[in-house]
Amino acid sequence: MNTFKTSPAPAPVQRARAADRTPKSAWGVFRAGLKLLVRRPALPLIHLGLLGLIGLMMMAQFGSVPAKGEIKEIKPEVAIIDHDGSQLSKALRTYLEDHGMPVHVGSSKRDLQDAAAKSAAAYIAVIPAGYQAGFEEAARGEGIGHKDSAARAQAMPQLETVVMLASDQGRYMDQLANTYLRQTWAQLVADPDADLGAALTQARQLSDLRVKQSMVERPAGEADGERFRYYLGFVAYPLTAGICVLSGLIFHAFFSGGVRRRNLAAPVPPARMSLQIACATAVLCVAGWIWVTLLGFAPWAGGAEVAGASPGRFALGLAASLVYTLVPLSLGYLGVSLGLGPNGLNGYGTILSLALAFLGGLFTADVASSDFMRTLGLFMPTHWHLVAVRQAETMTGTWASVGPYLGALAIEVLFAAVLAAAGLLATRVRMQTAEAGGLTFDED
Amino acid sequence: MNAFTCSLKTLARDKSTTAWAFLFPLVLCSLFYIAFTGLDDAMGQPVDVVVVDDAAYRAAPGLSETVDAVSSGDDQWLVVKYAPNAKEADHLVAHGDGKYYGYLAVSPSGEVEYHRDWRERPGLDAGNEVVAAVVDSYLQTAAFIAAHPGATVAQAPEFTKAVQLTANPPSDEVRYFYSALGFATMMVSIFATTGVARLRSGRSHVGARIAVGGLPRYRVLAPTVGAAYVLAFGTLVIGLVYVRYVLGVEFGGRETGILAILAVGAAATTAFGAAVAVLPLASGALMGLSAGISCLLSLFAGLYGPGSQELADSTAEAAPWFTWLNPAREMYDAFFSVYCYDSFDQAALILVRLALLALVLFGLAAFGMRRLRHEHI
Repeated sequence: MNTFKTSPAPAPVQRARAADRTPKSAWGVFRAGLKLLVRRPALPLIHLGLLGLIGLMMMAQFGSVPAKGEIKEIKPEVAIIDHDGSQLSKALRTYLEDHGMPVHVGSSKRDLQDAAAKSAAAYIAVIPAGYQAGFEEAARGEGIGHKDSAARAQAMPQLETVVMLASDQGRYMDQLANTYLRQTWAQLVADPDADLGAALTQARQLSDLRVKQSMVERPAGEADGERFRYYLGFVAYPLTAGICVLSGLIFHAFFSGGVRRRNLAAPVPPARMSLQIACATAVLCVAGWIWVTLLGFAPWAGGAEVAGASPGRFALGLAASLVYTLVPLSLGYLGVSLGLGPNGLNGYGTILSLALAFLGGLFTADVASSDFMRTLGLFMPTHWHLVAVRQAETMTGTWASVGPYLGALAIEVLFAAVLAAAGLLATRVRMQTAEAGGLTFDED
Repeated sequence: MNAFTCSLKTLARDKSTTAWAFLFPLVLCSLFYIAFTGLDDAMGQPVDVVVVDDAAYRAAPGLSETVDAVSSGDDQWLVVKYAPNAKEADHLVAHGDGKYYGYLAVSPSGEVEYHRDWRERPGLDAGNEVVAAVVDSYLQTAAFIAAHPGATVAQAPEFTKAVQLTANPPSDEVRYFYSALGFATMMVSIFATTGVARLRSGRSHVGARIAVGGLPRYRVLAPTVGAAYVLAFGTLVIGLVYVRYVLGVEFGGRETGILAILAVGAAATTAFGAAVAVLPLASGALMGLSAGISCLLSLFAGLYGPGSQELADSTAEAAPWFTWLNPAREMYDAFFSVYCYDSFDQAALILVRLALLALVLFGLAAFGMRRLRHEHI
């Protein structure tokens, strides 16, 4: 038998005692509300800490901040399976691998399925045996007019390609392969007697002709990279989950039947008591906001990008996050008003935070969203949080730029107000139930 | 058997736990249906770009025709927004909230230039290369004509053809539903967390009575975990039926395989829930911890959109051992294996790993549930 001892008092009893304690001063309710969380640091650590970490990890998807004017060339992972081993196939392989990141993929069907299942390469091209011979015959035949278009199309051997859907990178590599082969084909069509080696050299020279590229100037004062901007939008997810659940726990502790009845009988005006509960949850909001903001400021996260940005714009972006905390606060209140307990609040917060994040567009780029999703997003507070953050970033100080920012904040506040009003209504209905000690229809 | 029946009834009658566990797969999959249906089409969508439509552009031989050709028809590459001058185009890109990848302009000397937006677009970052490749093609054709005066450029044939090497065509939509099913499987671990936490002495009156009772711990723990597993698996089956037949998501005729993965996955996550339940935390914190870890692990199964998918893939490549410890990712891989491979051996290997993980986690739960001395009971 072990001699391990467990904590003598069950946790739910502790919570009730903290909320039920007779206030020692005018702000006793406020302190009791905060003690609920301070004495259980696991709760904030889980709801704000763990989910905040997700935001940090998501920032890893962004590469290093490019230097001013630097063009970051995309190098998709490309696998060429060469069954031909000819001059043409080797030249094509060299060309594609120069523009991508070569990876090895076996040639068996199982290896190819493996590569597809594990997204080992964005683009896989299989060059069939006899490809060069077929290619030359079709191209040179075209050049001396032996074949009509239909026959030519049938005669031209084709590469078998697998384009991964995870990004547009596969499509880009396919475009490059077609460009190179088209140049080679055109050389042979123009001069059917030309040496293949010379045609490939010329095709390579032509294929290496690239458009001159430069980077559009960022508006002055805007952050150098996308990380912190992304993070400012993403924080709506951990804030929704964390504040909704944690504020819900505070509300639940004070609004649950017995505690509420005793507090109402205590010599503290209800308005003052409500004010203190509101203040306790406001402190929670600010603390949660500071925590997730500090996470984003970490030097290895987005901190380095903040240095070059306009302090005013970043302050406005941070202010947008702070205003957003009103939404999960109202959601927490609404959840408790609907009768959810601590366990129910966990599920409620998790589902709602995911729903608002997905539908508001926190996790998906606009360009990858359907029109329906974009329209639906307009009815999500998370969408307006994103709008506020973006507007803050490009604000110039004119009314034309301040207006959309303030408008987005106003809509966030409006969402919070509507949710809180729904919570008040639900509370009022519940207070009239027999369980709460109010009037029922049986008592007439 | 009595203990099993009793645990089953107790857990099923816990309205809060049952309701949320039941709702998770349904709500989550509905969300994904709304958010990601049509994603496969979106990936192949044309790229938004601004073109400076000035005198230099119109004077560039063949450029406007090339742009017109690639911005119309079935095989459309670009969606073009015309701007009267470079300043306007620059403004559209800089303040377009990332809509436009960049703008094309022709310098007074006749050189075609592409000015790229500086923003990163994780998962869609090759859009700039697509625009550049279109212009490259124009430049190369122009150079070819210059090098071969009088040559007739015939319509080139197709040089590549897309083939399907996997059992079913690769689909990003399906990937997200697999992530969602993995996450839902993690979340139904709350049955085990609730059930096992209730058995802990000092956690509830039932737990206190069990602590002083004569039943061996395994005879209490095993039926409770078994009951939690039955409810978890049942909930997931309802979720799968909903996804397949109500939402109409196609799994390539591999529903039986998916059901088998859900069965083993539910065992692993039930064991996970039991292992969490023996931690010395309050009930609310246990539920929160279970949900928090599920959310975090699901990040590495690509739950949170294209960026998360990239992160999950790169993590799986860099640290495969981490995926073996992550039931959400293991389930995702197993689903995808069943979907992609002709045979089931790859999925079977993953299921064996998942079963081993379930055993280890169950062992941890059993260790945490060993008989304790309680001076206060």
